[in-house]
Amino acid sequence: MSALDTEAPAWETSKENAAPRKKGRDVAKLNRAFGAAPDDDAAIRHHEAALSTEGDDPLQAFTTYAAYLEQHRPTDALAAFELRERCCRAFRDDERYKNDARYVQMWLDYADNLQDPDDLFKFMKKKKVGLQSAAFWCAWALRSEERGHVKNAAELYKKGLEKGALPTEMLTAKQAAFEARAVDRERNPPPPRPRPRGLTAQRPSRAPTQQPQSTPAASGTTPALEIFVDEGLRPVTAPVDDWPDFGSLRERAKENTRGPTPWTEAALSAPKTSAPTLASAAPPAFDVFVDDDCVAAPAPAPDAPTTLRD
Amino acid sequence: MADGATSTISLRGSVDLVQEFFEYAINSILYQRGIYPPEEFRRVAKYGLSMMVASDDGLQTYLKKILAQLKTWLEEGDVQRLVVVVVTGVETNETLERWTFAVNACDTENAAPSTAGDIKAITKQIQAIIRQITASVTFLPLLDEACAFDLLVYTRKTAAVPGAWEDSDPKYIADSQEVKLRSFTTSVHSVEAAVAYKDHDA
Repeated sequence: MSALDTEAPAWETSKENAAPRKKGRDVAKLNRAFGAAPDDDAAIRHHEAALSTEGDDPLQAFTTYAAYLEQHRPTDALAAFELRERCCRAFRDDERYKNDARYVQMWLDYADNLQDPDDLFKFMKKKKVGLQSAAFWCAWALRSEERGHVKNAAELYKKGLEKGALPTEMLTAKQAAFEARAVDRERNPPPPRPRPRGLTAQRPSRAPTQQPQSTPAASGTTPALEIFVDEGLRPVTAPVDDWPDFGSLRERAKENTRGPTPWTEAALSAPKTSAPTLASAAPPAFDVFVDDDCVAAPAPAPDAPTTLRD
Repeated sequence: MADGATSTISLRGSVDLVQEFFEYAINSILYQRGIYPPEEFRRVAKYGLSMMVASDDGLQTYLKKILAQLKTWLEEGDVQRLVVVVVTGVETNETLERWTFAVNACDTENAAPSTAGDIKAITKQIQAIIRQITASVTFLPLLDEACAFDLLVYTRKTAAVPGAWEDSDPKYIADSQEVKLRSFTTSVHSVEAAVAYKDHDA
C-alpha cells in the first residue's frame, strides 16, 4: 500500500495470529516467531527428550517446555494445550506436587482453555490438588460467576478461606471484588431478555398441581416394584477410587468429532440458471472511508493469463 | 489551522494538531486498556477512524484542563514528554503500564517542505499510531483488576508551572519490557510513541 507498510513490525502485521496470553508477550520473541520460518526443531526435540515422569523434579521440564511453546509458537495454541494435558494427567496421583504452585498453575491454565471447567475443578478437588492454593479457589469461583452461579461462587470463596488457602490476601481481595460486582449487578440488573412469544402462547399458566406426597413405608400397601437384595454382597471396606482419570479432551469430545469419510458418489449438478446479476446497490447509509493510495493506483492489468502458482 | 495557500503548518497549527492528537490518544488508551468501562465512551469520527471518546463529564473536564495547560506549554516549547501511567487501583499503586509520547521541536531549516506539513500525510501517520495502540493488545499483559491512570508531563526547568500541578516521581516500572511505537511529525513538532509494560515472566 504505502511506505508505512514496509516499516510495520512483524507483531503488528500478524497481530491476529498470536494466541492471547495473560502475562503478555515479549515483543522480540514475537517478531522472531512471525519472521522467517523459525528453525527451532532442535529446541523442540531437546525439550521433548527432557520430558519424563521420573527423576528429582520432572515437573520443571514440563513447565519450561510449556513456556517455550507459548512464547515461540504463538500461533499454535493447541501444542501448549496438549502438553499441559499430558503433564496434568501424568502427575495427578503424585503426592509431592499436590500443592506445588507450578503444578496447580498447569491445571488452571488447562482449565482456562476448556469451555466447561466445572468437572475439571471437581476432579481437582477430589484428587486434593491445589486445595491449599488461593489461585485454585479464585479461578473456580470466577468461572462459576461467569456462568451465572453466583451463590456457588460465594460458597467457593468461603471454602477457600476455611481451608486456609494461601496467599490469603489474594482470596480476600478477589472476594471483595466479587461482592462489589454482585452489588453492582443488583443495583443495575441486566435487562430481562424477552421470552419468545410462541412459547408463552402455547403454555398457559396453570395452578401448580399437587405434588404426590411420599407415603411412609408402614402404610401397608405393597410397593409396585420389587426391590432385589443381593444376599451374598460383602460391604466394601477399602476406599474405591471411583474417578481415577479425567481423560483427555480428545477422549471426552469423541462424539463431537467426525473422522474423514470417502467423498460420496453423487456429483454436483451445474446450476441451470446463470448467476444472478447484482442489482444496482443503493448508496450506503454510513461514510465509506476511501484510502487515497488504493484509489490512485488501480490494479495493473494482467498481461499473461493466470496460471497455477507452483 | 493550516495555511491553505502554501499548505505548511504554522506553530499554532502544529500545537493544535499535537494537542488534539494527545486528547484522542489518551481517550483511546483509556478505552483500549479498560480503565473505564466501554459503556462510558462514545464514537467520534476522526483521522478517518472511528475513535472512542469518554462521555463522562468529570473525566472530560479533567482532561480539558490538562490539555489546555499542555497547549500553553507546547506554545512555549516547554513540553518534552507526556506520559500516561496505568496503576493498580488498590493500595499498592504499582505501575503496570507506561505510555510515553516524546515531543521534539523539529529543525525547520532541514525539514523538506514537501514531505512535512502536509495535513493528509500527518493524518495518516496519526492514524497509524492509533491503530498500533489498538494492536498492542497482542503483547500487553491482561489487566484483570480495576486500574487507575495518571498523567505526567516532563517540562523544561524554565517552564512556568501553575499551582494545581505538583511534582511527581516518574512512576517507573520495576522490571519492564519496552516497545517503540510509531511517530508522526508536523514541520514544527515530532511526536514519538512508546509503551513500557511490566514483565510478568521476569
